[in-house]
Amino acid sequence: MNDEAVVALARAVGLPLPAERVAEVASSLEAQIPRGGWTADDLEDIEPAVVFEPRWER
Amino acid sequence: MGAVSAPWELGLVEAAERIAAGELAPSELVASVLERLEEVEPLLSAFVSVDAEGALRAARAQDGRSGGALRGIPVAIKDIFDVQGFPTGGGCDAYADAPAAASDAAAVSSLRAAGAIVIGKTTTHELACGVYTPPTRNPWDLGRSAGGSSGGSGAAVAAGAALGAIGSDTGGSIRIPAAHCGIVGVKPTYDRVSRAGALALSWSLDHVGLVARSVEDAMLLLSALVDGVPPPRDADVGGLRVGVLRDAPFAPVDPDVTAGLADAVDALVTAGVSVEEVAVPALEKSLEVEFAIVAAEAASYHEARLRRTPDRIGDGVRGLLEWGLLLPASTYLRAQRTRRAMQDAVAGTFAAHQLDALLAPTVPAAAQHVEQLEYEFGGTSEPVIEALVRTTAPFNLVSMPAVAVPTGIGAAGMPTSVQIAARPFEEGVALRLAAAIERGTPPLGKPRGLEAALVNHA
Repeated sequence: MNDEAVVALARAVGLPLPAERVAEVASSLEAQIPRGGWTADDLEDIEPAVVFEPRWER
Repeated sequence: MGAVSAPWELGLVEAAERIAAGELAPSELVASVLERLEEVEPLLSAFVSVDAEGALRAARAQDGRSGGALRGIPVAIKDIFDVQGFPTGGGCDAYADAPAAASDAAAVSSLRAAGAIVIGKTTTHELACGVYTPPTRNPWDLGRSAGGSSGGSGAAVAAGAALGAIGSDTGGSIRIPAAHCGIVGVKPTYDRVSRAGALALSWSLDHVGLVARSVEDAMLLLSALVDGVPPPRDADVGGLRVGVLRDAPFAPVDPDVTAGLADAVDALVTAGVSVEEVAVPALEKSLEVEFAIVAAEAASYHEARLRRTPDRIGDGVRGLLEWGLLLPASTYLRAQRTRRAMQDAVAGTFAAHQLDALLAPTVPAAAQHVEQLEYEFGGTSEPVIEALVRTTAPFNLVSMPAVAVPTGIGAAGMPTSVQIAARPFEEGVALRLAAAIERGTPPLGKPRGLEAALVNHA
């Protein structure tokens, strides 16, 4: 994850990211993106632990 | 007043019983607690606001009347929950301009309905996202952190500046300060206590719960928030089965913590509980799953303020929100899918071993010094936040109720603690087992650092 990619991503989502913070965010993203748990192979057929419950107010 | 010299020293249950029997007036109890608060607060910095006048007025209105189970009991509220008439600051300058809340959060409303009296709002680590809670200090050692993020609630209750307090727990934020301050912390099942009227950190991981000085106090306090909690002195645990977790992420831990876990096992066995070693390897990646979910959800929740007033959010939390906002959806969903696999693995372990609960260290080490960034385990360094969250987050991810209970005082003179986690909605099982551990543990006494400082102060 290079600095240019982080700057482009931040601009795309409208995040005000000062130049002096870009390297720190890039480093965190580089570490975090591959993490988050098991591999795709291990997670086949497993649904996420979030559910959508339709609700309507009359 | 029996074995205590002032009403603030009473346990919550005993105080409630004396009030119900007409032996203690709510105004007498609240005045005593406020006096204690005034004495210790300069040393602890556990409160962001104290409503002494309002609390005394509410207490006098209850004098001589009948009421709910918590009639006249002074409680404190973490400053992420709305309390009518007070701003909700969340420990963050970005919320410093928040208007006074128009109504109480649901949990606060439930406590008041049972007769509790809100005496003030307690400090939180910024946006409930951290394990230090500056400027609050630990009553056992004023040079150490009270833990976090509900550090103010933990310090206040341990010091006698409230008989109980409300907190929130997204990855240990109730159980960590409870462990570090030598008190009981209860994280109920996910959504068992309403989150309405509270600032969020992570919608799918935030749990509303409480801290108290004993398990029976916690039971009474919890009974005002949820149905089905056993009476405070119902502690029959004979025949229950408990699995002990010692592998990663519950290792490595300090020797004091290992000794405390052994003492807890002994206490359970003495009480007639069947205890066996179990392993749930699926929990090993709890920390990275927790961080991915918290970062993405917190960034979304706070996105408007992150855009409008980024400079009013502290660097540490701001960094998490920034990378959380840029984290790919695929990483977030990988974490939520891994979380489901963890839930299935824990449920499978309960079924395979016919368990009623799991036992594990609450935290791997005693409270960190306020400037300490890393722990050392066997010569290997680990960031404090990662060490404290890796042992608590598994039960947020699996959404089980978990109760932290002290196991004694370690070599450094600081409390140690274990946690009991039960099946979803079985808070009563976890509390009864925690009570059995408490019965087998010598009383910790008053927090030593604070008492010594008060003597020097006098």
